[in-house]
Amino acid sequence: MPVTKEEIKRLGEIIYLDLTDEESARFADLLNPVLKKADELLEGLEEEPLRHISQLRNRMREDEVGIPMPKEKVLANAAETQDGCFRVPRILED
Amino acid sequence: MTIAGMSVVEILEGQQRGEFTPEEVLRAHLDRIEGEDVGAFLRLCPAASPGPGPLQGVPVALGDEVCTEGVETTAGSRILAGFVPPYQATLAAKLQGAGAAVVGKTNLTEFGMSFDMEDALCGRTQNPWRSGTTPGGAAGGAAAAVAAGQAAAAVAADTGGDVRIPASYCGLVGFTPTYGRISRYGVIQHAPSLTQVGLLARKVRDIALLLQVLAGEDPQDHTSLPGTLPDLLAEVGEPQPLRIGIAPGAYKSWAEGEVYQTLERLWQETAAQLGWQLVEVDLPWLDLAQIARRLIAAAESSSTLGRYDGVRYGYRAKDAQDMRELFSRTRAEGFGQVVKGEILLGTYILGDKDHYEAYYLQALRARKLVYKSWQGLWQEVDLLLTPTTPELAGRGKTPPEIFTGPSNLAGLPAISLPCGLVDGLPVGVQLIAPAGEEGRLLRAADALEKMIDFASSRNGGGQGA
Repeated sequence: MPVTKEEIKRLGEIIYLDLTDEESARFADLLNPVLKKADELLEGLEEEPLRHISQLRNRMREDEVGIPMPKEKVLANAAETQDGCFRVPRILED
Repeated sequence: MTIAGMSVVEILEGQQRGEFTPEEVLRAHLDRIEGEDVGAFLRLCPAASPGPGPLQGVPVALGDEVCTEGVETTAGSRILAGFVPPYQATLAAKLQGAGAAVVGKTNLTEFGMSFDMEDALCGRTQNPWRSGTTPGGAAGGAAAAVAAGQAAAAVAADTGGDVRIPASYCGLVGFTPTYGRISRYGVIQHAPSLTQVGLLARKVRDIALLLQVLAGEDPQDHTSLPGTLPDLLAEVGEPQPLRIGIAPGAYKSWAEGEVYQTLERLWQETAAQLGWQLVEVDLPWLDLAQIARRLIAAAESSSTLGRYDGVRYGYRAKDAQDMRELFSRTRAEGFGQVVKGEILLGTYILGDKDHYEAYYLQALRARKLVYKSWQGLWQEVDLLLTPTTPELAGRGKTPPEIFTGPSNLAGLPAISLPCGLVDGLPVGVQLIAPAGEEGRLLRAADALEKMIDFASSRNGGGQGA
């Protein structure tokens, strides 16, 4: 079943991405050939899924306080700050 | 030969002989940057200076996905406009610690998400071999910088061929080591299970030298590989009899005729002299690998790019009234079309149980099939030889990553080197090795490079074997 522009619009809302109707239609047209090719090639595979090729292992260290990045450095790239914090639009109602 | 245009090894040897100083080397490359605008750099590093060490005075360019403390780093995206990293990527620190001069940050497609530099948002980058032709991507700026003599080497991320494809289009050596060999701490990436840090230079020996400096376990990157490499420079140059896999059937069906003929001529003319035994193999899973890599990269991108929301760094939409509007408008205005498409694709295949099973899980099964196919292949051959790209720069009919992407799925080391010219544009040959066999790969590539004797200069009239 092809992806519709309505589905794309809904996906945009889930991932906080404003999309116009025109964009939604364009992205549906973009995704459908990819998914069609995937349908053709991937169906029926029964291998064990391989998520990662590296040999992941635990990295232990002493439970000691490290040297944190200074707050000024952390805040330096924010568009807005206030009183040593990130400033964002109001979250709670009065 | 002028200094700008020399290989890393030539620069180091010239300095040792007292023919020029590190400062003169840096000046020569900066002059070339000022004198010839191929759109390679997004910004220069004003504090670039050579220091003592094994790479003393070597001018190196970094892809703009590599974090550089105090120097704006955007990964080619509006959403990171103005981001000045408060820390240094491990690889950048290692380069500087080895005496290299980081001259600047190079252009790439947004977050390295397209192999076509036409998709880059931060300006057009030219292929120094032919103005108006793409240098390939995602690391098109890095390749253009080295090919134009504006840096002797470059470092950038490779998630499916992003370093090897532009290396092929620009007549350079492009290399990706085993997954985890070079730390990715401080490298902005969209698909972490696929990304290997790649190197660009003029000669194979340059790559060996750079890898020796950059390889090693990093406590900041839990996927980095433990252990040390042998002395790669000492190993390079020793001839070795090898079984070399070739897949003429697959190459004929995917590559354009002139590219295939260049490769066929190459293996026919050089194998016997190199002591190589050619073994015909089959690669029936190339298209399967291509779609699996695409889906896995999109799925991972939808997760990794979730962090860009306008709160802590980068671009923020103006005058948002609430958090939803802040996030949604910031991301809509900050991301380009290619990135939006990839995030949507990734969200589609992860966001619903049926889609997850039909696409993402099946892509992971395909990855396992490709991985097992590589394991089987290594029972028959020591290295696989392929075209790097199916077409010359700028043709754009076939997925350019068809031969490069499969090694990323399995984290294998691979190298592309120029092997001839067609219609005045470089053709690349790729060698792929089993995981952990960088030494074998570089020795073979060095031997092949000497046979090809390609003058990696636009003005050198490069000739193939």
